[in-house]
Amino acid sequence: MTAEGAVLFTRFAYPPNALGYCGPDDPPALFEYGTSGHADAGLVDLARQFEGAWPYLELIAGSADVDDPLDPRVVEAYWLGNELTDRVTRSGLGWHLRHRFGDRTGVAWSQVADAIEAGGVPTHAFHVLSVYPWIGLLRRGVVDEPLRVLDQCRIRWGRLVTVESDHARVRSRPLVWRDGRLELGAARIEEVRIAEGATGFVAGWRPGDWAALHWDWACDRLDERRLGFLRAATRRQLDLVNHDLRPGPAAILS
Amino acid sequence: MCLSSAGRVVSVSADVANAVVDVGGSHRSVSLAVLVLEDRAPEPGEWVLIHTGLAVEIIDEAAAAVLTDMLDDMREGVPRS
Repeated sequence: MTAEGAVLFTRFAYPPNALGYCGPDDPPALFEYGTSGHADAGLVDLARQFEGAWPYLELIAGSADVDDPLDPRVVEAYWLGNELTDRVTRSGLGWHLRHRFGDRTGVAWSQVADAIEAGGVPTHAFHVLSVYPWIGLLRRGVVDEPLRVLDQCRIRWGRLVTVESDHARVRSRPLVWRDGRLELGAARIEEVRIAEGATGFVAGWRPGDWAALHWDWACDRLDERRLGFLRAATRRQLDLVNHDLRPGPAAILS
Repeated sequence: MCLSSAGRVVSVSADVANAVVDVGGSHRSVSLAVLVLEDRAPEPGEWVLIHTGLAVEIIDEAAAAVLTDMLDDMREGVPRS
């Protein structure tokens, strides 16, 4: 195991964990790992307890002949997207999800299967936009809360405008629901955390930096390559969602 | 990356904005915003599907048991087939 991949996983996993949404009930430990850059067997054990993310890491690693699900290339592929996701075959993704989540999903499974067949790849964006229940709620006319969750839960990108101690103001494009389509709206300014008590995942944030954002945190600095992968993965997934006009998957698999 | 969980409604706030639910023996507060918008506010004793801090669906006890069982198996590393 390399520390780089495990720590990268932690930086993106911490925000929803701290909010109590998923993973082990130990946000302080995750924060310590994510900010210290230290990795050991304890961090691997914490990562395995993210029941939603871990199966994807195993799948991506296995398909790329990488032994370690926390290899940095694998972790990057899941959170941001990269070339490794295209090594996962559609049948492989379908089998893996069904094997891990089971067939107790009724109608939901066929819709997830259709999303895979239409070009879904194993990224966080796929899980949020094709497996979660929120798209179905949008299509039923319940907009505000589902849209807020989708926007915060996906990994989004933004450019820092100002940096002030534990927070930064960031220019980013939110998701909007317009005429039955999910799209990126006009850029707006939002405030995100870059540190807690002057300790953060990334040191030396500066205005002009590109950041990967998850919930209320700036999790990592994005170079041009990673920004390109994240944009491409997001666009690919939005196209897939907008191509499928049926109600979204039932919530039990979400 | 998160998975839904099932919780039994313990109490509903007076303004029907939030509920306290029992998830595996621990109590937590969830928003009822989605259900209220669909005119489906739950009653104490009913089961709800919870996702990222929101109750998104009222489910029956059998469905709650299936979901809880499935999540328990996943945590134990038992594959589904």
